[in-house]
Amino acid sequence: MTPSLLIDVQGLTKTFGGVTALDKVDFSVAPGRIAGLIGPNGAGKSTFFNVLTGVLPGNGGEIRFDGKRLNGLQPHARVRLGMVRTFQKIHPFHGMTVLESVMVGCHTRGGAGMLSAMLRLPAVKAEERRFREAAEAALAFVGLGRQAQAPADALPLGHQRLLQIACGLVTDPRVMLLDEPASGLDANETARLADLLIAIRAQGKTLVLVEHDMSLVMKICDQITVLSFGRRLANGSPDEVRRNPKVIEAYLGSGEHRA
Amino acid sequence: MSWRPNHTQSVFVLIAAVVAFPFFGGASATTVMALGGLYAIVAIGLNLLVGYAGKISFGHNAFMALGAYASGILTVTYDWSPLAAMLAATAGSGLVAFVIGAPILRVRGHYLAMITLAFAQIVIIVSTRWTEVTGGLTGIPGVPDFSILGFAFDTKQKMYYLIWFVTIVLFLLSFRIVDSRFGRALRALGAHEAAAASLGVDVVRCRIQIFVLSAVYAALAGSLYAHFLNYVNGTFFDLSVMIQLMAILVVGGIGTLWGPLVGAVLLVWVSHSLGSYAEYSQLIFGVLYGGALLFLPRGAVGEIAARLKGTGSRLRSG
Repeated sequence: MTPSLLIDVQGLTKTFGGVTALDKVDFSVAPGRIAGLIGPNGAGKSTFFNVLTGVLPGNGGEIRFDGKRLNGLQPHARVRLGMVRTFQKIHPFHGMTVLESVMVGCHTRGGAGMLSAMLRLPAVKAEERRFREAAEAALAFVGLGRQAQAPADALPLGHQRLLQIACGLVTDPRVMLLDEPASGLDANETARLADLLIAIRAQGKTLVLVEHDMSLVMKICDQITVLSFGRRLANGSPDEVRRNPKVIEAYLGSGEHRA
Repeated sequence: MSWRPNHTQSVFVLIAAVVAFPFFGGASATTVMALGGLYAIVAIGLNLLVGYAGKISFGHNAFMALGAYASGILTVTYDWSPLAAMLAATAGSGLVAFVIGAPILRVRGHYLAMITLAFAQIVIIVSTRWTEVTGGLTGIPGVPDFSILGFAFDTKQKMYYLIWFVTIVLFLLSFRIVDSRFGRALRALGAHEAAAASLGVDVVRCRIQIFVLSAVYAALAGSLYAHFLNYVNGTFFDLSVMIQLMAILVVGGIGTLWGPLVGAVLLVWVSHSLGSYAEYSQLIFGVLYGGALLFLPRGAVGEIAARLKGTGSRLRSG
């Protein structure tokens, strides 16, 4: 049986000492959709990503990915299952070229270890060639084909965001979790990012993005979840969420309700 | 990229220089260079750990000691063949590194540096006190010459060639390691651990592997050292050796592949030319270390590479 939901999170809770960052959050995405996760600063969006991807352990609730329980799995093991993420803050791999950085993303696609690297048998060479081709294809896809040999840390921010996406894409994910992919981009770059994300969805991949740029979220997302103070405030299509009074209140303040 | 387009030529020059050196350098200089090769072997492995994976060990002098003592004890007391003893010494030291590294490398922070420092102190103290096995302060004299299938490396010059053969093989392998699936994972986790993990790299596993490999290199050097001097003594491997290894990395260029080689050769000559000032060696290494950190933070090789890159348009084909 194929579950109809790719990601199915039930009652996810995360506390830091006495602070409840996530309070029984439910979240689900069907395959091939773009889901947006929005909310005011401090709503718990990044914490949600961190618990979902295994960077932080959760305190309660259940995460299912394609029907499998993920709780307790290390981040790198989740990549193997087809869940990859990007970070809001860019972390270029110093000392590596753009192409090499993307080839790091091929890690789970092969198995050559330390000793086989030293022996460099034909099978290892063939694997390297596959990695290189996959990385070049991913770079061409995001529009960084010409920057392949540049040092990764020399790219401007807009290109860094694309590099992150290329790195994620070569892991051959089923879902990509993008943490503020448009932050720091100008209007042109954001428009191109939107096209890119739609093209990724067209390949059958699922996307979840945390994003502050409302016009981007409203434009490309099939569904939106709103978090506020660690709780799920609303969930639905962009139109439903836009009209939801609780969402309007959370974003615009509660002036009209003041006594 | 990790190397310039003229890599093959540079390696060729290196091999030619290594082969020719004993004919011009004389016996005493050849001995110094053999020592440089031994240090280079340890530094090549340590550089992969420190310079690429970003983890610091202060215990590689102890892995040298383990390799030297294992070879010495197995050949002298138990009459093993030098090759079998060397294989056992390196494998055993690798196992020790695994036992130490596996729990510590799971956690973030500088625990590895602290634990390896403590481990090294213990190894050195035990080696000089456990007289029945290690000969105590007297050490183990009479370690036989190294031999493979009946061919004995019975002169210092033959040992020089053996040592530098091993050095160059490991040096060339380090290029393969760095430019591989494993090596990219290593460099990525050295640059940013969480970002590497987020792309599927098993950070802990990679770190343990490189720590074990670097310990095996150190043990191999220690084992060669025992056969080179025909003698083992714990005081050869005290903390000052570790300081010298760190100075080699920093002066040569940490995180560059030529750095360990250049640093090792430079430092053994500095050490050798101290002569009667040897008692100040710690001070001089300290000054070199600090000076390199202040004025050549990329080390000699890193600095040269950066200069070449600066004028790169003419030097590189494109």
